[in-house]
Amino acid sequence: MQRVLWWIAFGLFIAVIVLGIFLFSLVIAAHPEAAAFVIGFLGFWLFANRLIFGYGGIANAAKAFLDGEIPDKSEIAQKIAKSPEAAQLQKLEDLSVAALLSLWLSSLEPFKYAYYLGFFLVFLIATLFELNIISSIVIGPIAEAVMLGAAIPTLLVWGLELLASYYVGKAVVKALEEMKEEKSEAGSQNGQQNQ
Amino acid sequence: MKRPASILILVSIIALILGWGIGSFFTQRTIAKVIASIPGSPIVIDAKYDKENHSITYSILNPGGVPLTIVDESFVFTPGKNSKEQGYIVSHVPVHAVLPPGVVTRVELKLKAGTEKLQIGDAVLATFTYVHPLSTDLYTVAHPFKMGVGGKNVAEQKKGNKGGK
Repeated sequence: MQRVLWWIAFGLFIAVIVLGIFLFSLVIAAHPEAAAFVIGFLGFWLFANRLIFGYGGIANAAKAFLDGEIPDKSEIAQKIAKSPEAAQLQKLEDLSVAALLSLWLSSLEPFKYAYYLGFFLVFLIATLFELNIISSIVIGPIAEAVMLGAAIPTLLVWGLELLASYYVGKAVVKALEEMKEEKSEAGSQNGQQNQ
Repeated sequence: MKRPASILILVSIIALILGWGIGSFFTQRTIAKVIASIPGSPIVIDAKYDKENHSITYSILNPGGVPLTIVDESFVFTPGKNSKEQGYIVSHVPVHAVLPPGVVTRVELKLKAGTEKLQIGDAVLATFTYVHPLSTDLYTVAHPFKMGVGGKNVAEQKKGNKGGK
């Protein structure tokens, strides 16, 4: 029974893919710019996905921390480390929430730069065609459409990055102030004990 | 950095500009495709007499978006005062000259072999018949040419008439 269901699901999957390719090739034949736009959008979203959800998660967690909630440290540690075991080994859960958040923010840095490099290359090619430094009636509009499709996830990444770094900066300031207060309290208690 | 609200406003403004750019890009591409499918009527912008080949070379601009093909040439020769040649008509010389869209193409019209060289004041009224890929109709453009004064080949400034529709 399970086998039959599996085969039916597999057949449906193949049918959907074949139908999708068929429709997509029709679109390419009729509107190559629209197809290039979709490819640019989906392709760049594939690479931006980690950044978008990463920065969104950081901004959410930092906002929750600022509002007085204590986010789950082990969850954040799993985002930074390769695996839960590695997170335990690195003793990430001993760190404060603000430190974990800024670690998470900086762990996304290489992905961000690779992503921006990819977008810059696409943008550069589109600009070269747009300014007629290289000219081609066929490829020019397609390069521009890919660039415009890629610009949408890039804008999301950029906006969320600004938001996440703002909230993490706030969270770090708040954590430092709390640390100072604790220290001064501890110092005054020690002084009382000495007397 | 700024407050979240100002970040959101900044991102929204850029998103509006980006959406505007995307919309105008696709509008422009659609219009460009429509224009590229409209046939124009050829404009003869220059005509020069070539003494050695005994022919007139016409520079014809195709202002439309589809290629036009000249399939047939006819011309009427009318002698001026200086010429000893009789007037004659040559009609329906089959040619195959493709005029690509948006550029000027040179088309050569050979005058009747064995006749005298053109003198000042001689007139040649050339008629080109052309077709375009969207219909099977024949269109014509007629261009009057008169040998100029002072030994120079000056084309008539009159534009060729459009063909029937």
